[in-house]
Amino acid sequence: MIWSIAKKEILENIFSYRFSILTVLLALLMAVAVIVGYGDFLLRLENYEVLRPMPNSPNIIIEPTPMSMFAKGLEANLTRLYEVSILGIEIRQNQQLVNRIFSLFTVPDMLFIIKVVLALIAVLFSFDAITHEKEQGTLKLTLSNGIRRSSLVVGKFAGRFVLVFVPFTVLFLLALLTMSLLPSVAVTSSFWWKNLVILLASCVYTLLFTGVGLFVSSIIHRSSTSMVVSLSIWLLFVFIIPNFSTVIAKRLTPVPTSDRIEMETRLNTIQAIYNRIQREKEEPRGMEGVRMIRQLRESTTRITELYRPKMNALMRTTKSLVRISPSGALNVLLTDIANTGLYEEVRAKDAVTQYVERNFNRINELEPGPIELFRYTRASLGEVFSATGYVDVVVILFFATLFIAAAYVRFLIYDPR
Amino acid sequence: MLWVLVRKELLDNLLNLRFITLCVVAIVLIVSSIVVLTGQYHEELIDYYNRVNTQDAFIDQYGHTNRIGWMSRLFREPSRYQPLVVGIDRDAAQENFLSNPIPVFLSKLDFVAIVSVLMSLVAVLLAHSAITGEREDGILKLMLSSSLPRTTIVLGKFIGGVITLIVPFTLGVLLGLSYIAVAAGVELRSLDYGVFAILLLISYLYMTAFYALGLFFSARSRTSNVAVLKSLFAWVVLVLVLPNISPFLAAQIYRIPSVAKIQRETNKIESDDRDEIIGKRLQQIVQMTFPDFATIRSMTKSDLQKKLDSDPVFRDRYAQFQRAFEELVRDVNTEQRRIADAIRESFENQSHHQELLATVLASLSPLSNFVFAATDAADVGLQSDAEWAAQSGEYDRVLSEYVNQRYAETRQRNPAFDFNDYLDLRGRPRFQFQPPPLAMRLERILVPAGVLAMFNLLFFAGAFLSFLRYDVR
Repeated sequence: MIWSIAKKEILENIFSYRFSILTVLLALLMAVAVIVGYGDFLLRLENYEVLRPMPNSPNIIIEPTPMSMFAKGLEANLTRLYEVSILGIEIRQNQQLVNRIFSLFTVPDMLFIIKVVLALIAVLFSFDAITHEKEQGTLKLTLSNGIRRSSLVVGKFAGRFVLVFVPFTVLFLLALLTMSLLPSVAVTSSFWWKNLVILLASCVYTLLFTGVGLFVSSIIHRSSTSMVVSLSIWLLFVFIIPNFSTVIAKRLTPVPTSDRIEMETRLNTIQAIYNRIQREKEEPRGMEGVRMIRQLRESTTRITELYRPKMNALMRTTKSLVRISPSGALNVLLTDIANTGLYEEVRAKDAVTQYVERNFNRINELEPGPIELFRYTRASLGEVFSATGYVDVVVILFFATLFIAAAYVRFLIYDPR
Repeated sequence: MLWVLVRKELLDNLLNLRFITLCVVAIVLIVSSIVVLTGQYHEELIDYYNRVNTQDAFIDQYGHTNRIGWMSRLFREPSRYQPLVVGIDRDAAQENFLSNPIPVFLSKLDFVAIVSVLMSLVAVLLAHSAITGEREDGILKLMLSSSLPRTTIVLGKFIGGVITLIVPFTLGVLLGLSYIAVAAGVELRSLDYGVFAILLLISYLYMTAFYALGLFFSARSRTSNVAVLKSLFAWVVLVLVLPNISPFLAAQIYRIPSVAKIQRETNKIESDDRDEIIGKRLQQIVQMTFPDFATIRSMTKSDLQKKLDSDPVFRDRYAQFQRAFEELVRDVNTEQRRIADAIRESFENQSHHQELLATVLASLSPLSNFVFAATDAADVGLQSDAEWAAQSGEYDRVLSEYVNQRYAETRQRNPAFDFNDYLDLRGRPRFQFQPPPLAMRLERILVPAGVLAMFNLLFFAGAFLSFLRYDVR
């Protein structure tokens, strides 16, 4: 019985205006995401090829990952060139000017399509699942035919879900295949595994928003009202909670601005250089320079060590607040899987800091010896999951179960008149 | 008659539970985002003054000529309009190793974001059933049969809808602004009122554009269900797709080399190529004018010294040779720097063109025009950097002039004084950023606001014409 209802739902909608318009939208966006993501990846790769670590130029730079085509996240940050001076680690501004516009808008990558557009489509396909039939009067007829309410609601749910998720899967796999065949994209087995997990996460995410639409449809009696309420929930989850939580997290966990850190380090350095010159004027000695660099290094390390735990606390607070919404959790999860998220940022900065720690003296010619090459491998899928990923999965699953169960229970006592 | 229709629309909407809910949500969001962001602004302002004072005190105590540029790095004061318009987040520029990455990860929810995403959606949802809904209810037929002109109906619908949209929104914004003025204790100047007025006006323009868009699709559809799908599709394209892809498309269409490549190229020109050219030209000079110096390079230093000491003629000639060599090096250096500068300049031009292309592409969407206008009005947008660069550059020049003068004075009194010695700079000029005046801001937003007005005109004309031929049965 469930399947015949699901089949009816699918057949009813597959030739509808709604299905074609939304599928076209999805296809269009995917094409744009692939083209734009690939171009962006190539730019970073080109940059990396110029600056990559060689025995004669031990640059500190991380190789770009093709997963950034799916979720760009902090990839632009991660793949910059880090330079070491007596001041510590500095960043070379190798950004393009157009980046200023980026900071006004969002990146249209696969994560954006899943987080925003797929959720919207799922809501638009399910908000009228029950109300429409009620308005048409067919709900009364169907129920009078002796169909169990539970089969009806499950069938409707399955039908609407398939309508959204099957076209998405086909398009996603097409995009994935295209990306893997493009030149200069190195495909490893982890590439496929990560994308499989992304597909699974999108599946649960689609279930979740289909559940939202169905739930709203089962508590409200008019389609137009149901649409407004579902869209409000979508807006709340997708935009309002994640974006508001960054502001609130910053209020809850104050962190000194990076400008302040920069200033403290800079003034410390100038003072040290100045003092050294004054001392050398009194009694010229050879070792003042080395002593100064050592002292500076100590004070910079102290400032950094005070600052980074605070920064990490801010990241933790932001993550927890963002996870109040399943879309926020999905954002964290997908960027972490793609190795472009906050987890990778902390991990990479730790690696750079440790590398500099080991090689500082040799880079600044305080002691002889070869400088080791900077090597960095991004976190594996397992590491991401055991570190933070499982929380996001739990959050998304929790919301999905919540809305689906609520829709199911609510429909059992629905008044079809 | 028009006003009767407007009143009807108003009452229809205001008594609608859906609409009231959305308005309450929008107002609560606007006010709470203003409150939270004002708190953040205060914190940043305190930190800013703190930094300025620390640096000033440092220069007072340790000022010396050699590192003055490094010591006096100018800070940008947090924008006064930050509670409303975050704009280009300075944090997002990620200038330091320890910069906070979260602004890159997720954008902040400010007034601009609320208007551009939430209010446009509210406008579209409010308008989608304006015509189709009345047709479905059969009211439209009745209205037209009572010999009401279609022009009046569509105008009444537009004006009524726009008023229902704008009045509660304005109340919310005014509530938030009065919080800034009263509770938050931010002292407001006349410029601030001007900027707030601009922000409100462009928000109206933006929201009416989306209302007209919804009306257009309502007049192009038979049923509300179809109308809402069409409007939502257009909303997704205009709000979520077009603005976001434009910078990436621009980067693809107008390719520019990476900065690393340019740096490598200019480095090569200024060091490797330079050495090569100098070597070649030196050979030429030796062949042409100093044939007797052909083997000078293979001479050991002590031999050379001996010869210089013993032979005064050789000594003069050697001095001549040295002068020619120095001149050569200077010329080649200037020449190579000119070539490298040309490359750098053409790169700058290219990136400006790229940004311009991105801006033009983005302008196809009302959202981008609204964001550009709002950020430029608040001086935190794409055009804010130029003004800052001009004023801070001017200050750097004035300061270095002052320092040089002080240095010369001190040195006159004490010839042993050098540029690493403490120099009393307590009387130096201080930097105060002059925010661009209102006229300048208005000039900046002329284009985006004009495009927004065009969108209004376009969408409304579409709605108007479609309704004139609408089949009301």
